[in-house]
Amino acid sequence: MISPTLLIDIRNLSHVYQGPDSQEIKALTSVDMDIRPGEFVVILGANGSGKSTLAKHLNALLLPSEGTVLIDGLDTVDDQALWSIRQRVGMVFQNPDNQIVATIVEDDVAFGPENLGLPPAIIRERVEEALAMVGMSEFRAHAPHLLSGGQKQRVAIAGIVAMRPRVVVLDEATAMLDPQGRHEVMAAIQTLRSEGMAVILITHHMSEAVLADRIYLLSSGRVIAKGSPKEVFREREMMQSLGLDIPQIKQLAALLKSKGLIDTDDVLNVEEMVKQLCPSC
Amino acid sequence: MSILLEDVHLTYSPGTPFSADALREINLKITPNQIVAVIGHTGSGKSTLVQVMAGLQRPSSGRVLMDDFELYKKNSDRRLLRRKVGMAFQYPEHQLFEETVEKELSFGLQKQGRSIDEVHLQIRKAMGFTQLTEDMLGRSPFELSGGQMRRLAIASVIAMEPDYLILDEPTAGLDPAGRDEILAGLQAWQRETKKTVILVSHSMEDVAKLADQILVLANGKLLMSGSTREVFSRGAELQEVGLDVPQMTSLMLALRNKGWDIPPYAMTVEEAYQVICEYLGRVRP
Amino acid sequence: MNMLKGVTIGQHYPADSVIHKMDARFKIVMILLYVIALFMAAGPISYGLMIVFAISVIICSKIPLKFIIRGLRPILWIVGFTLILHTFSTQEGDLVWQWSRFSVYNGGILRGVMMGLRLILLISITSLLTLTTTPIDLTDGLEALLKPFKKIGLPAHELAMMMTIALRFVPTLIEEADKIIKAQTARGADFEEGGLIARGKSMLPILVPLFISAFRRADDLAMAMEARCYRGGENRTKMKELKSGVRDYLGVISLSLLMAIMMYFRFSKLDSWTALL
Repeated sequence: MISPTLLIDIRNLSHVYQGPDSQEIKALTSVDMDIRPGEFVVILGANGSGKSTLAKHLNALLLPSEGTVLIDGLDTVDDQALWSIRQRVGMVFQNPDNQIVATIVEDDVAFGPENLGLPPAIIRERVEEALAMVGMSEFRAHAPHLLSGGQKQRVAIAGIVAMRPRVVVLDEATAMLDPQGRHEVMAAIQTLRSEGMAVILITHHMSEAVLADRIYLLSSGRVIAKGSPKEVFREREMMQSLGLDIPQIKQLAALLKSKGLIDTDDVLNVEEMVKQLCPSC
Repeated sequence: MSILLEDVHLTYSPGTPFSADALREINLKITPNQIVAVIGHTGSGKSTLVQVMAGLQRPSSGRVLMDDFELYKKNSDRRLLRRKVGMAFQYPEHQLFEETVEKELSFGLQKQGRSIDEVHLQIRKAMGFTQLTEDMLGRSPFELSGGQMRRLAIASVIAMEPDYLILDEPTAGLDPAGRDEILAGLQAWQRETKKTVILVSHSMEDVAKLADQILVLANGKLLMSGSTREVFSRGAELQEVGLDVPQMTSLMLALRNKGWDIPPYAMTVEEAYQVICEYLGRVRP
Repeated sequence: MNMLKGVTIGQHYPADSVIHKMDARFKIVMILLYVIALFMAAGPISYGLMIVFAISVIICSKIPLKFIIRGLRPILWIVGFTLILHTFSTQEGDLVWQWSRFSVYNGGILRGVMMGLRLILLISITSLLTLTTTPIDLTDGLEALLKPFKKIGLPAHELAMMMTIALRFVPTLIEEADKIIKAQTARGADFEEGGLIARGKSMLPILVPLFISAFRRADDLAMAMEARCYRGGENRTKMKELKSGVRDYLGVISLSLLMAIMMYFRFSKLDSWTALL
């Protein structure tokens, strides 16, 4: 039953591939996932949890060994639907350099719309719009190799936005960036959301996950928890053993709660911790 | 025994419309047997500075001395320099090229003309600090996982046992497990060999955990230099130049603002926990 | 990184000039016409005309002459070599100077000067092409000119795409090579010692990582391009369309005229260097 309100509908997805010694490796097992329009969902997991593999199923870069992936009702195994799927689900990858095709920023942002066969005047509009959205308008005539990591990723995001997707998937798009670049990308994500696009962020940083509407927590190819950040992060022991990047404040909160010195370990930043420790201050 | 930079300036492409000042008036001294962290905002000159120290980037003016050996003098002994200082760049696994892990580890040592026994010994020592195992020796470096390749690249530099080990963001792009492994290995290496480790880092938390001394760069200049506690107690100045203090220190400062009588810094979660427990025990017995 | 700045062939110099605004396809064709005309020029008047033409184009392009001259520096030694070669090996005209086995004829000097001039004009004009045309316009222009050959199987779009990607990654790969060289130097690699074979082997620590990196980039890039709906040149549009105008037609006509004059002078022998001798 296809639910018309579901943007992405994944049922019982499994992905098996052959390892270096010809053994069968199950990267994903029985994954169910649904994404609604406009949502901000984080797929959280350590390296090897299968999160990147899952990401590539979202735009048919990989096809299921078992189960189905439906994008706006279109099945990823359907050859004819391939390009419609990829226009709806845009993807930004980890390496800022290896996504930029053209020698000038605005030409690169135009690449996607050009592939869609849009008229030149419309492409021009879309490019301006997209660059403005990520705050890179003044760099439109720059050469990409002179940009910082954060700027390159913003250009990559603009390139996707110019195709007017319904979902933007960021596959560990901040992994190779310094704190400033990371900040720039997270800010761009907020702008995408305000424009009504759904955003799926793949990461191992808990601090990025706390901003989501919903989280899917992955480990060894399975979804082991899902729900709002509050719901998912309640199970603390599990978090520690999963190899995720847990903010120090959260680690401290866990220790203090176990000693009974604070009421709840649902503490995500310094201000909240201060309130917990000193409610009357 | 120390690294000395005297009035070092570095300008890229001088005299052209593309000229840029990377380093200005750098005067600093690094004493041996410690871990030094170099921090600064993006583009502050951190990478340039450590490359100058490693003898890989000639400054436009000024002197660089390592244990009284002047690095950039004409006819300075390159071989001697390579024995003194080793450097691992960002994403060092991108420089792997040998057919086997063993050859990769031996590369630098063979260039130094060491005997087969010495090479054998040094390699195993380095592997010990980077959790590389014997069975990996015959494999191709490119069969290893990302984290293993990173450890291999760093091991190949450690194996040369330089007096000064310089690393540019050794944990960049790694997950928490990988990060902890590398940092623990570096700390153990430094403690055992009593040599000097200089690392560029963006993570204030990593720096707080590991570093004895911190150099802060801003816009090509050395803004401050001092012990970890000294530097992190000047949070306001750090924030002005786009840096942060470790989260735990941030918390201590916020609590102090509310009247808590506690030190203005904490370097690790455990330390913060102890301080808070002690304070609460005192105040609410 | 510094080597990138001195080379002007391949660089783009942004300015607001007639030449910059010309259609890339026409500029490419005009270069070809100029080169043909240059090879047909056979005497002082012809060369004079070619030089005047080149200088007027440079002036119209608003690119400082100093910049063009700086771009000629790398080839100065070739020019000098050509000059000397022809001076000492040609035996035309009158003997001008002799010393043991070396004899210099004024015909040789003339020929040397002519060859040198040809080189200078060639390099200047081709530099002008890249200086006044953005890489994307250049590849678009090439692609458009090669399109008719698709019928005989020439992959015009793919070639243009390859050129664009190559141009885009050249600075990135140079930076990476720089980093790799420094990293291997730090491990004691020496690239200057030993004979030919030893030096060849010493390049492995640089070439292997660079190649692996290039392949990895290509892989990533292909995936990113596919994710952005790239499927070759079919039904693909372009944001920047090449639009030809009056100035382009004027340009081609003026060059055709120039070519005609050169041909006329050459075949009628009205203008030749030997007249100077």
